[in-house]
Amino acid sequence: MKKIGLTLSVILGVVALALPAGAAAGEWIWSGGLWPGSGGRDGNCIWYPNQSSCAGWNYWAFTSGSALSGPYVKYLTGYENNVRIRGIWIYDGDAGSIYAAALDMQGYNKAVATYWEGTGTYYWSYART
Amino acid sequence: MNLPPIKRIGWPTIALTVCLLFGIVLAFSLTSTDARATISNRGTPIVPSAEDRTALRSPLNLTGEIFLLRETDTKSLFRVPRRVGQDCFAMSSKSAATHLEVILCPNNFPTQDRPILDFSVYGADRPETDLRAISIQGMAIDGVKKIRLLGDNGISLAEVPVRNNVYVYDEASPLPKVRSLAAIDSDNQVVYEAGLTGRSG
Repeated sequence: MKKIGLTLSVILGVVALALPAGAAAGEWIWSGGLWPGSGGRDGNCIWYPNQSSCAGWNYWAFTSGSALSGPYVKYLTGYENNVRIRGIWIYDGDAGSIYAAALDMQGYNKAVATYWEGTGTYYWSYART
Repeated sequence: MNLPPIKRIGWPTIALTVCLLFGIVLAFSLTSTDARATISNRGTPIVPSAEDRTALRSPLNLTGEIFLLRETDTKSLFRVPRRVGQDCFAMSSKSAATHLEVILCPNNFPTQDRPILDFSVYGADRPETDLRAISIQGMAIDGVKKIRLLGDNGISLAEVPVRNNVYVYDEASPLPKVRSLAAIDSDNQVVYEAGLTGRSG
């Protein structure tokens, strides 16, 4: 059953990935495999570019993320700038949303999802200004 | 706090979200073997603010209800039910416009395998390179009595009591350099670790 669940997760993830992105101005959408080496270096990221996915600079006020269920994995989801990174842990199978104000990160910043530990999986990120 | 005006979310965004969340829920329902645990504190219902109602319109399939679990001098924690599936939980700062500044919808909390749902904020400031806890708060199942704050090399720095299934480090003194948390039961045994060092059942 576990294999079935994981397979379905991957299939649904791939289906989701195939949908048009369609992000409007002030929105950021990203999904894909997120672990070191999974997608190469993300030049948008400042703090942990080899294991993160980041939005470009903007006045991001809200971000959300979810990790497909499966083997243990943990992501730091939040915001970063040149001097500071702040986030909350999201584990495999979790979904969460975070206002920048909750992390004292209002202002010009980057929304970020950083792989931290575990097997790695597909991750979905969204942010808006 | 002034929140920015809410922008319309397009159909592709909604479709993407629903598809992935459905995958998460489906996979969990097929794979979960976690022993369920209880949280006795069901909370007190509160009337959602206008900002709350905006946050409640997320794709997380929330019912629109908010239950206050505990309020401290700095933080409040809430239970936020979903129409289908396990409850979500939320955390807000005392001065926040919305009670739902942070929402977490965990796939395996509350369970014995995951006895705490940690809302702690982690981060770093240059020239730091390693993450540390910036603030510490979260939920715990019945039976977890306190949260031990661990520094480098697992050194115990302080302990935070769990009251009404909620823990908040609310001390006036600055937070020490915490790298991870340990959940402690009534026998003073570590039942779980979270933070930079991961988790254990």
